[in-house]
Amino acid sequence: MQFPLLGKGETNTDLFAMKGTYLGEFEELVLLTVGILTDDAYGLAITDELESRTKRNVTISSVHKSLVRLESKGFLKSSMGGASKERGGRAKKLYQLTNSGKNTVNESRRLRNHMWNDVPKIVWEGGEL
Amino acid sequence: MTPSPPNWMTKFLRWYCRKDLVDGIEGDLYELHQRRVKKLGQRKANLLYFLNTLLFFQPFALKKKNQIRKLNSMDMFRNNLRIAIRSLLKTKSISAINILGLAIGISSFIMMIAYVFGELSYDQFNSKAERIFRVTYSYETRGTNRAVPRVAFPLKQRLLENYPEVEKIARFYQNRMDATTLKAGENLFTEEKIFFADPEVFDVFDFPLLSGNPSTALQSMNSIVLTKEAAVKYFGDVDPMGRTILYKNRDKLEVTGIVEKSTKSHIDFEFLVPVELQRQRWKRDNNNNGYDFEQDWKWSGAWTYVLLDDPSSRPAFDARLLEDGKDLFGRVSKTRVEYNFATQPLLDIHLKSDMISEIGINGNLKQVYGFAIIAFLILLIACINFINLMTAQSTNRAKEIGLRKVMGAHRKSLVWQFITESVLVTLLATLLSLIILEAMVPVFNSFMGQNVSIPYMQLPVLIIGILIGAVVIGALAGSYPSFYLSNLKPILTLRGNYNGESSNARLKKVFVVVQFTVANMLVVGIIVVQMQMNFVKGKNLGFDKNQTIVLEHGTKIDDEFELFRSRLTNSTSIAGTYKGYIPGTGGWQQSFTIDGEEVKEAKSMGFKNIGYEFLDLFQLEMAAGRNFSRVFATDSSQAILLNEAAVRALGWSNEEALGKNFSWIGGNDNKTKFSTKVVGVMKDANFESLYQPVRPSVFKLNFFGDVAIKFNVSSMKELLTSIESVEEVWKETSPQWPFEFAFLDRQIEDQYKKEERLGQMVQFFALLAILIACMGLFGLASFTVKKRTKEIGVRKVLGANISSIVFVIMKGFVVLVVVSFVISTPVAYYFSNNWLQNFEYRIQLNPIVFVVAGVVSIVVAGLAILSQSWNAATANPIHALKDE
Repeated sequence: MQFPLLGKGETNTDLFAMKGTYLGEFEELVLLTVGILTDDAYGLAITDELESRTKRNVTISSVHKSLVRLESKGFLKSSMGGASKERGGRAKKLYQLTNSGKNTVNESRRLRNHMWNDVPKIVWEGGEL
Repeated sequence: MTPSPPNWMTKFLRWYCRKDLVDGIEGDLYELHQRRVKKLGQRKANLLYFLNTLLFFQPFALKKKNQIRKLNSMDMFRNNLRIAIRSLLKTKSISAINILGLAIGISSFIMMIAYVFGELSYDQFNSKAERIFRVTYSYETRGTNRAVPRVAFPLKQRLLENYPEVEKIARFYQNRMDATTLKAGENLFTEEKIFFADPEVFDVFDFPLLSGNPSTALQSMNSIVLTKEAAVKYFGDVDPMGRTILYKNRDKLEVTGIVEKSTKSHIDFEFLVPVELQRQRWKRDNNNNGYDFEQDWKWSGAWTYVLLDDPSSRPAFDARLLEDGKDLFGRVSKTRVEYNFATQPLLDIHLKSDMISEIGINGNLKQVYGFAIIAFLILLIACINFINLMTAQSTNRAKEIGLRKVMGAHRKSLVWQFITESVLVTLLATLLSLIILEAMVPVFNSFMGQNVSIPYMQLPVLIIGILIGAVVIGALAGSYPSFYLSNLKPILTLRGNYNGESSNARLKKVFVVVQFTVANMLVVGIIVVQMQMNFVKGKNLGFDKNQTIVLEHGTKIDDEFELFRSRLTNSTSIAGTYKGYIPGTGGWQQSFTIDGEEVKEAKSMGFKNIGYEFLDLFQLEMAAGRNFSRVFATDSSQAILLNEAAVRALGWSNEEALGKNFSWIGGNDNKTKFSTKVVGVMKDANFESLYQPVRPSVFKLNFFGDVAIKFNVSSMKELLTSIESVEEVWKETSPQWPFEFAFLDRQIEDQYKKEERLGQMVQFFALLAILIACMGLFGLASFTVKKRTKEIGVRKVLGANISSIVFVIMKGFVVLVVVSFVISTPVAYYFSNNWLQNFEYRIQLNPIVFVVAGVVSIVVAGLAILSQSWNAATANPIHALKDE
């Protein structure tokens, strides 16, 4: 369905992109995993990595969904990798962080660090204010 | 190697998934599947794989609209449509002929198909139809095999007791000897469509009951089930359930069920009353000596429908029944030779069964096929018309096609353009045909006495079917012109005046010949059917049927008849009053023992009870011996007459026959022994039907039967007043019965109504076919004339006169019609001869018939062309030549 506010030539994805750099939690994890896996970051590998790290059940379709979305936001770029036998002759779609992706993760980390720093020590160490 | 995931699941994924994602996703899922197969086994892995493919069915992974390659086929289609409409409007008269002809063709096709389907759908409403069989029997009589669809009443009990495969049996019986009166309140009518039926009738058949309980409706002896229409006739708006109907002035019957008569059944009833009612009425009737038909094996009176447990048990059932029948009747009667029982599937009865004393008027499978064939022929003529006109017209558009080709049109797109055009025309014609149908169906039904309805109930299916049909016809009919046209060489069409005549002329001629061959055959059909009908009506039956009326309730006035007759003898306008067998009706069959001979072969002949006045009244003559006479007292019980056919059948001369002894067992109780002597031989007259030769018959004096009155008047007015005077006498002598009568000659003609209807239907559609063919010819001629305008102009300038020009144009067409005449004649001869074989007495096929048919089609075709060529011939040549 076409969103009514869109101008000519704009798609729904463009509308989401305009939301700017906002990242969901899952998206952030996906971005980081892509970073961790560096040159072998494709759908299934990312899912495996996420599952083993978070101990959560991660469905492959949600990972792909985030990947598509992150790519359309410009945080990831993709290229087709080699095909192999265990993939039934299908190529891998390999993802890499773009600069803006890196910036966004960094930005999010910085934000958190700032916030961490601003939490008074007493909160962590216990006791009454 | 580990197995791959099921292919169809992968296909599903590929079907919906975006091109740029599909490889990655498919690969991932494949890898996952491989892993799962090792861990969980193939089945579980497959299931999970499927779930995964479903989970990917999300907006992000779906193909985007703009990813589908955009085609301009829609735009081309729109353009084709526009061009089609423009070209239709450009040649309005030809388009109108084209569409109208096709519409008439399609509507008659739909109507005939509706008729055919209606005939084929008889008894289909019964859910157990596959398991219902009617018991019939046949017996040999003088070398011919007679089949009867009725069997003896006690057979039911025997079947139920001895045949485990029989689940239920429903019998029907109809008292056709006398009329039945029903009375509710003040409403008194005589009814014909009243049947006696077993209570199981609603278990075996699925006649839909609007109210009442199907399992108990006919349980009580005093119950009656009637149709909704009949209920309205007797009770008006009042709820009829539980009300009382008086049966034959005596038995009070309670209404226990109302039947919806929407279904097509070969049992055409309006009232059902229990068989038990008839049984008790006869039992208590003193004249019948406590006659009980449930014990009578000799009277085959019941149409018996058996519900078997499974259709497959029929062969075994048949075989046992056949054996049983031989055994049974071997013991029961010595006069009958062999009863061969058989069964008939319910669904075959309406179209395939044609026995003596059927339960109703059945259809005829041959006739249904015949109609289907005519339907297709008409559609064929209409389609040929259509193709011809499309092709002819298309040469006008050669330039357009040339230009399109030069501009780079592919052949394929040109083909599509013309197919679009022809489909458009067929769709328009179809719409028009639906309107025509609305008007035509009621006319058709009332005219033909048919009950055809277009089943709009199944509206969506029907409409879709018709539309698909229209598109298919359009595409087929459009394919020839489109391929022909798209094949034109652009250089030829653009160079000058292109004249496409040469290459497609032959096919066009073939088409015209086919059309007129069909039309010509149908014309022959019209003439032959009409001639045979006239022949049958006018045939001298050997007896006098004029100025004679038959009283409807004559059979009931046995006691009052003498009084009635004596009161009428005084009138000068009445030539005679008679009671007994009436010519034109069937009569029954009886077996005889001759000269005490115990004959193995059944001497079965027609048997007719007649009165003293029989020969006088119907103007019959004796061939030998003497007529019955009141002078001989023994005549009333010990004399019989034979007809010449009987004498011939027995291998005697007329004189030899006199004095032979005939004896038989019969009478009301079927126990009385009759011993008689032949006193005379009557000249043959065709009492029964012209389908059959004169039946060998025995005539005996008796005092029951119908009443006929012969008048001797010179004008219609005199006749009417005489009938009125008879009515007055009737009202005095037999006030309990209504005075109803029929003219004998009319009654006899009614026998041939089925043929007459068939004839009328054939005529109607044959006329339509000719009309369509002529419309086509008219269009074709007008087109030809247009194309030859210049030629005609030149001819005129050079001094040709009108008649020679008309001749030049007509020559081409008339030759075609003559060729089709030559082709159609033998085929038409074959079919009409075949049809005439149905009649024992038939016309000789005269060559004049075919000549007349040929002349008719040539003249009609000529007229269609003449108007066009006349216009061309009388036009001023200056208009034709000015733009050279």
